[in-house]
Amino acid sequence: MRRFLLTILLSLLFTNSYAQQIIFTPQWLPQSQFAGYYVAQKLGYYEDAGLDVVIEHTSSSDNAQNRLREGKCNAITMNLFDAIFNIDQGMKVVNVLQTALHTGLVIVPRNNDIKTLKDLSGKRVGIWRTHYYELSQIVNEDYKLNIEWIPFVQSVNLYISGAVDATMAMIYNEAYHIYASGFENVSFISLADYGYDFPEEGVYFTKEYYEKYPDKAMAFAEASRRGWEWTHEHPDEALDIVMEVIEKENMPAGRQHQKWMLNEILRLQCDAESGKPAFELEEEKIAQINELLLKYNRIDKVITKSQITGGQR
Amino acid sequence: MEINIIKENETSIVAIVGRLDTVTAPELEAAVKPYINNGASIVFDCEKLEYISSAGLRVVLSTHKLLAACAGQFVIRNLNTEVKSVFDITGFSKILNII
Amino acid sequence: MKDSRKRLLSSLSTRLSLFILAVTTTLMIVIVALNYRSSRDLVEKESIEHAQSVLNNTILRIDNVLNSVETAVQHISLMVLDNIDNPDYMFEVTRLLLEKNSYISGSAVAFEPYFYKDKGLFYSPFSYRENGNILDKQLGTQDYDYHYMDWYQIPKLLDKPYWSEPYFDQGGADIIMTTYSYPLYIEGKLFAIITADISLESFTEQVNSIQTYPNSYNLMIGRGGTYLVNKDTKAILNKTMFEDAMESGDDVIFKTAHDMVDGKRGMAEYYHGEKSYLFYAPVHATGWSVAVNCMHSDIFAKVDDMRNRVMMVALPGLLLLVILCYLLIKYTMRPLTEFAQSALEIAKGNFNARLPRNKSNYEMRTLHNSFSHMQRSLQSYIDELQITTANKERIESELRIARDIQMGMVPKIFPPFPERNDVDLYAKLIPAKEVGGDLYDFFIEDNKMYIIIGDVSGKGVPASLVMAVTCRLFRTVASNVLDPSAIVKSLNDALSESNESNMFCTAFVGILDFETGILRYCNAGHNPPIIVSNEGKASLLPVISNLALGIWKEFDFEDQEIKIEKGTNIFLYTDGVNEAESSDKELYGEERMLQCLSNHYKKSPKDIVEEIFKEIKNHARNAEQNDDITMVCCTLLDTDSQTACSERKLVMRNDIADIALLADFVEKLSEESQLPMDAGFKLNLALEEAVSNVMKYAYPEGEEHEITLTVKIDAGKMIFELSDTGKPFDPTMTEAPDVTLSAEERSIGGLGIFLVKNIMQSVEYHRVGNRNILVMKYKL
Repeated sequence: MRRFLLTILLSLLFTNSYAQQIIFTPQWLPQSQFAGYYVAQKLGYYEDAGLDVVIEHTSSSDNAQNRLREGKCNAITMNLFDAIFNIDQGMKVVNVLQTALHTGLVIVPRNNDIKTLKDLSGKRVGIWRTHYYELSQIVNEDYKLNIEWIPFVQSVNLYISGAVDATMAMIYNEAYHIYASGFENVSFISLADYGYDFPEEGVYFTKEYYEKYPDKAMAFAEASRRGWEWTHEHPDEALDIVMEVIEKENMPAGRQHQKWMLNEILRLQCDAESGKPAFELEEEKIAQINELLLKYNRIDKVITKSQITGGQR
Repeated sequence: MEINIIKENETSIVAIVGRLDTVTAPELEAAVKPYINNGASIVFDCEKLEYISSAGLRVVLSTHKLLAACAGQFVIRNLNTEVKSVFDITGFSKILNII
Repeated sequence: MKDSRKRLLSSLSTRLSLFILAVTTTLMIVIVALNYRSSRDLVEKESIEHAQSVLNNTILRIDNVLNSVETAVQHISLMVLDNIDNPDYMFEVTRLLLEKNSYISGSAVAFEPYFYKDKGLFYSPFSYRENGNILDKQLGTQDYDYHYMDWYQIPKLLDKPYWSEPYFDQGGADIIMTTYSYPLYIEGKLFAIITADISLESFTEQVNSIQTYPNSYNLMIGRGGTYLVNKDTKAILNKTMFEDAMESGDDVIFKTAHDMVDGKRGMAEYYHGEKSYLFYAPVHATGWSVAVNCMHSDIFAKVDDMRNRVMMVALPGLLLLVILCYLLIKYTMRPLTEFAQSALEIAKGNFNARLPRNKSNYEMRTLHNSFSHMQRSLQSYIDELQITTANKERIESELRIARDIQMGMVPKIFPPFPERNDVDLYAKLIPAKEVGGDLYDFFIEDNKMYIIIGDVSGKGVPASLVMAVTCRLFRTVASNVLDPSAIVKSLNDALSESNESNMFCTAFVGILDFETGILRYCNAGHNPPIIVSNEGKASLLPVISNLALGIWKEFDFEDQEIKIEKGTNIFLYTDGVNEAESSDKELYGEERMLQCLSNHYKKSPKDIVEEIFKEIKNHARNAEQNDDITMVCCTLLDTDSQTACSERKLVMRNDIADIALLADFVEKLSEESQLPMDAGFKLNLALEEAVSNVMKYAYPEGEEHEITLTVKIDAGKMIFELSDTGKPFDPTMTEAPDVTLSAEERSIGGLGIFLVKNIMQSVEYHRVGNRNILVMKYKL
């Protein structure tokens, strides 16, 4: 009898602790894009906050949002644009921390005759298979570009081999690869210049977890934020931590790339005026996104900030 | 002045001819010197001696002394009047063997 | 230490050796440098060629494999087209491909979605190797939608076959794969893509195995510059060459990466610490590029090594050369130092000094012979010199004797006629050399004075010989002759006879008759004498020159005569007087002579002559006497005005030779005073003692001074005064000897003064001024 009770108790505890565990999946493979979290993990910020955090990355054929949907994780990073769209679609997520303030989306032309957005009209443009699809489409429709989207999985080989006329790229990722592949003179077309400077990454918890363990979620947000702040102050050491993680995961990564990436990520986190990270979710931006999505019938209704943040902020 | 020396038996006879003065006295001395040795017998023959001065007297005296020192014999003979008077005045007559 | 170092540095051996070293070293450096330069160029060219050929070979092999894959795939594509209606057959195709090509590890035929309606979205038969077997499966799955894979999409978009960018094999194990995609079309539309996977393993092996130089490394990059082969394995598929270039900031690498990616072939020089070369060539099929790097030092390692070896041998070699040269030269030069030693020896006077024996080479032999000859010459020269000197000395001593003889020929006693009170005469002859050609003579016969003064042409021995002849002849021919011209003629005859050397003699002959006071004279080319009147008027005696003696035997000489008043001075002289030269070649001259004679006319002949002589000496000063000087001065005295005083004077030199003069003087005195013989003897003795005392002691050794003896005969007494200018000495103070002592006891000294005191009536000593005066009185 006692043994039975003990087992139950233990299992309950176990389940409980298990249930409390945060499985955090950043939206891509291990890289310095997620430096803050690695730092928080490494420096024990999560531990200090009494959190049990596991960072599990997605694979190249999968994505974080899918994993969340499938319940493989309970916290991810996600772009605001996608978040609003998804929330409208019914995804039950809560933004606990907004890290990026600006967009890192750029278009990299393959030919010299593509200089502006308009020049993309009718052209083949590479796009991630699993990302930024919506915004890209909206831009396509906004400018009536009639872009032939060519999805790519991972590498910039599409671009290098000349199979596309241009490609979408993250300034901190694909853009670097292109740059480092002998295209150092290429000039990017930044979406921010065309009024699409939407904040991107933020940390989202499942609504379920959030409602169950709001303190833990917020604690995670807080610790993560600390991690990011530390990264801002110690970028070189943070880079080392990132490289450690990458190596542990057996991922190929070049330090130079990661350094570039960290630089850009940190830059995108900073407020244009103060030059410091703000970790804020701007109402104005939310409104802009809502407007755009509504315009192109991507969403039915306005998604408020409160809805996004679960009423907390 | 002339000096002629001849040997007669063991005796050397020195014949002095002319003046025996300051100038000529050294000649006599030099001429006689070789003959002065142990047990020599010397005779000054003054037959032709015309004149003698103190220099000449000195030579005579030194000859006497040298011979006396080596057991020689010294004789002076045939002095003329004037010359003899000089020997007398000077007292040489007493100390020398004058014949 | 410093001295010997200086010596070493300046030594011929050192200098020559260093010079040789310098030249040889320069030559060697030039040669080595040139050789090295050309070697390097050669080696460089060779290595470039070698690297390129190696590169080409490797690429060729890679190309071969790639080509064969392409061919194979193209081949089976036909099969696919043939069996298009049989989807399952595709497995056969892929398997066949694998079977036929061992390096293809996997092959698929991937179809467009729903090409086969019933096969669905992802119909992609795929064969692969596993554990030596060929297995089949479907490549495409829900998880693996191949339509978006590069290997599918890119050839589809490009519409041409495509070699994919190398990727890590899904299975892990660090195997890099590349896939050849071959698109298939039906009616211009793509329906499937055949793939063939190959591992890059063999390629990487080949690239890695390129071994050019010890420090070389090889790399291969893909289309974007991504490393496919790299000695740093972490960079493979991780880094691009552009990243490396950017990191190192090397523009050359950057450009090279671009060139490589552009499919160029070439060579780049860049600096990575040291100079390096990068040879690169493209693999056209895949758009890769292979590069081989060589370090400069490696390429030139062998050449540099060789150069170093040469230097290592050469440097000690050069050193050895220097040392050997130095030693050799030193050894060869050693005789020189020995010669130097011998020279020193010879210089000391040792003419027979030993010469170095070393006659090893021509130069040394020549030197030796010269030295030897010099030695002998020196010796004989010195010998000659010694003989000559000895001869010279002999001649000089003979000349001195000759002078004495000559001087003995002319009357030297003054006053010559002390007994006569009507004439006084003094003469002085100073020859220019030891012996001279001037002469004078005089004698009195029958109350007539015969006088001659002459000057033989020339000086020295030749003139003196003629002078001697003339002098002797004069006395002979003048005796009993009344005409001066006859005397002159006789002399002329004699001299003209056998006068082969043509020496002539000027002469003046005079006969002065004391009774008449007439001077008869005949001049033979001589300077006219000077007559100074008893009032002091000096003038030249009018003479007929006639001809000098010895020139013309037949010559007719003329007489002259003149009356000489009492008190007149007759001054005869030779041209040594009036032609006495000063140092600016000014002659003393007649004028001065006349003037002087006129000034001193009252003085005694001796004083007059001395005055003239003083003037001549003053005039001549430092000039050398170049002619004999002869002066004869004769005064005809006024007997009447003479005081009846019989005074005689004798002047002697402080030379015991002049004792003879004293003897003569005393003899004359005795004669004139008619003294008995013993008185004369005694006077002679006493005076000799007194005089010889003064001669011996009054004056310092070697100095010529005068001693004067005067005698006054007065009232039965003869008063002698002996005076000298020597040191104060009172002979009377000498202790008289003790004549009573025996011979042994007798001292030698003191006898002289004893005799004086003994003989003389009185002996008094006075010191007057600077003179010692001894007054001796003798009672007649």
